[in-house]
Amino acid sequence: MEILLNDNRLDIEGIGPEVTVLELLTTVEESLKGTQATVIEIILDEESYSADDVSEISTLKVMDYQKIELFTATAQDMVRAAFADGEAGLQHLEELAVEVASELRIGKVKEGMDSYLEFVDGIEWLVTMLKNADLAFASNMAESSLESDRQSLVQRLGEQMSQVQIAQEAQDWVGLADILEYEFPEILQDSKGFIKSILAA
Amino acid sequence: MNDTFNRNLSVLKRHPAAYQLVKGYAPRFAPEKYRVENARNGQPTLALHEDGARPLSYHSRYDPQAEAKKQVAASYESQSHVLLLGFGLGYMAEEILLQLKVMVGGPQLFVIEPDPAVFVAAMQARDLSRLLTDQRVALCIGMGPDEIGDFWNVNLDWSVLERLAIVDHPPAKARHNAYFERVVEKIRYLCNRSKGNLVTLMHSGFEFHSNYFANLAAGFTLPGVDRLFGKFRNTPAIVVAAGPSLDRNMHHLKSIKGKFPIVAVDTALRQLVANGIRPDIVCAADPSYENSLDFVGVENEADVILAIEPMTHPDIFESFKGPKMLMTFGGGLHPVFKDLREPVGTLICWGSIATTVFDLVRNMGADPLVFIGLDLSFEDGRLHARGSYSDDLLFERIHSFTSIEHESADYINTRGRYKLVRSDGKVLYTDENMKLYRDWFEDQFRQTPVKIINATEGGVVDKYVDIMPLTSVIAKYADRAAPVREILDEALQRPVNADCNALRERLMHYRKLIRRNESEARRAVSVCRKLLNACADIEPARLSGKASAEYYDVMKLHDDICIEKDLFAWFSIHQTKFMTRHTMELNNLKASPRATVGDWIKEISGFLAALESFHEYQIPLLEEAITSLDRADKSKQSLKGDLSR
Repeated sequence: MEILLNDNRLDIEGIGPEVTVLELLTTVEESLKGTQATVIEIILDEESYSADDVSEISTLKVMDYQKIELFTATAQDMVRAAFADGEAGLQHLEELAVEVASELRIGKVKEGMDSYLEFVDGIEWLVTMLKNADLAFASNMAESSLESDRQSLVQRLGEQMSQVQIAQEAQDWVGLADILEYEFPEILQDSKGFIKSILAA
Repeated sequence: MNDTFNRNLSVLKRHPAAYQLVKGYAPRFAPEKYRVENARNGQPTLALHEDGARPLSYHSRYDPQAEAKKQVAASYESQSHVLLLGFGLGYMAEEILLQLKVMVGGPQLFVIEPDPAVFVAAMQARDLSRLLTDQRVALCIGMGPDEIGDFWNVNLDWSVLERLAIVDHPPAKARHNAYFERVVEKIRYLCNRSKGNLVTLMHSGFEFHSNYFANLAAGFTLPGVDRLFGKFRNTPAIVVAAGPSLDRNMHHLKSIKGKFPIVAVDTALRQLVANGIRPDIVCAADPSYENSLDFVGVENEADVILAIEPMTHPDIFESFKGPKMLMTFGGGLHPVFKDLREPVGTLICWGSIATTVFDLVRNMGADPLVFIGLDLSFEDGRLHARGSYSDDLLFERIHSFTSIEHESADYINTRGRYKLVRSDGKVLYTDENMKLYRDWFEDQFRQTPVKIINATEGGVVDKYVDIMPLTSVIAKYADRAAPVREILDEALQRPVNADCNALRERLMHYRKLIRRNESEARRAVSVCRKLLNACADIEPARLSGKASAEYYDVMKLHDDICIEKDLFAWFSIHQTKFMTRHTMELNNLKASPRATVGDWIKEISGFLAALESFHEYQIPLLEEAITSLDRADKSKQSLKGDLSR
């Protein structure tokens, strides 16, 4: 059996038949302390798992696999990767907003709610990305007005998300559709502009 | 109330029911609850602010009109008629009117708004005068589902209904979901019923009409079931239908004979008699020869009253020797003679004679109404109770390679495609017709103020009824017996007030009218030929001189024939298929600005040919009825003479 960390072979002692992949991951995370890196992906005999997928990897036994690969990234790496994918992600969010709004307007609430949950996850991703932008782009932001743009975007997203929550709780589907169709596209466009500026700076 | 409201109110007079409601409701309108604001694009939008609840938007706060376009596009696909569930501020209704392409010359958009306050808010916020004066719009504001059903029946021209779209205004639908579901259920039921009526008329209208004339003389002097109306107040009455479960409990009827009225469908009579049970009344109304065979072997049951509709096959009238009473469904020749005799007693018929028996006992004032044999589903691989003629029909199909079970199973497998799960979890299968009857019965049960008990001990009818075994019903209501025989005898024996001479004169008058129409139609046929040769390609408005006069004379003759109340009704029954198509063709011609003289005259020529065929059929019927009335009158005179001697 072979265990690799970022393509480098790892020697770990005491691996018995009962040791789970989660236990292996915990041991590796312990050894990474102080490096600012964290395991983000595990590949078990060419099948990929997320390190967040605790319930699944806690049932898998290390000895059942020939090759276990672990990949790490720092917060900085992750923010950079998110910004690199940002435009495509925002485009998808814009389309989702319109799709959910259309379903809600014609009374297809159940169908709309499936895509709505994806949209809410996407907005959370965007907010996290914006909030952590300084981790990867501190120097770019110090030299321009980008910091105030970032704060403004985070604030606008927060305001609209609380409106969304109020409409959803009141089951005011037309009100919710209005916010998604008429308020979010502008914020998402501005977010695209911000990402472009920050990557270009 | 503002100027916009007053302007709208003045044009709302076109819709009297909505006008009265809005006029009465407007002073109580609470604007703080129904808040109208301007959307971002300047159009009014509505939000509902109910106590203790968060606001609910009825329309977009950005662009309500664009929203309405999307909402209509999602559920309207060029249907001829639309049922709009929820009016809001009227944006969807306006959009639908823009989309309606086929004009049929009557209401096409039925707007249902349960909350009068929403409609008042719309009247205050927007100029709706164009929508309210549009002939295609019919308004049902603040009406209950049953009232909407009645309104729909009265206002819809069924002959031009091609396809119906049901379009929701989603916020209204979410707010009044149960109400709208009930409305849709009611309208679906009415559509099915109307479809059933039209199909029945197309197939059997001709037969109904001939039977009416053949039975006229024999039926006119019979006592009517009206004499029984209200005579059994608070007495339980048993409705005996012919479902397979009847075999299970009909023997219990012996113990209540003479105490509770027992009223049966014709199909159940033979097996009741075979089991030693004589119902007090048996109802018959089927015009077919096949159904007359239900009376074979039971023609001489002198203790059973036959309640009969004049459209029933004449063989039943002739062969049944027991006492008879007349009932009517209100159609056929009833309007022609109803003022010439005492009331007959009008009952409902909805496809199955069981529906009529139910209406009879309901009119008799009985309470509770107890059903047995009302399966409306297949039970134990059978369609009917054993021994009915309908069962015989399956026996007739049997040969060396099949069996009654095989034939029944074949029928059930082919027709029993509806799987119904009863409230107790039992799964039963039924066919389309029986499913329709079940819906009808349950709808009627809901609207009937007396208790309904289903003692079938099987079957699929379980809504709005108490389910109880027949023995429990008998035990529970034992103290509510009535002197059944005495009441029935009194109704049978009183002399009948009916003027045969006046009826004969009336029939002779119709004969004269038909002769006149015959000769005018012949002349019109020759004029049509001439017009087709001379000016087929021009538009009617461009005709002049003699051609114009002749053209409009022919059209007038058509219209005159169509407004002759009784004769046109007979004509429509005889020529149902033609008249259904003709009405649609006339609507198309009216809607087409380029219709030529040729287009119109070809259609009118078809009408005249159908009329000729009707005359050929109708005259002998009239002659025979007049002769029968003469004969009946002469035998009455001779009987009087014998008695006086």
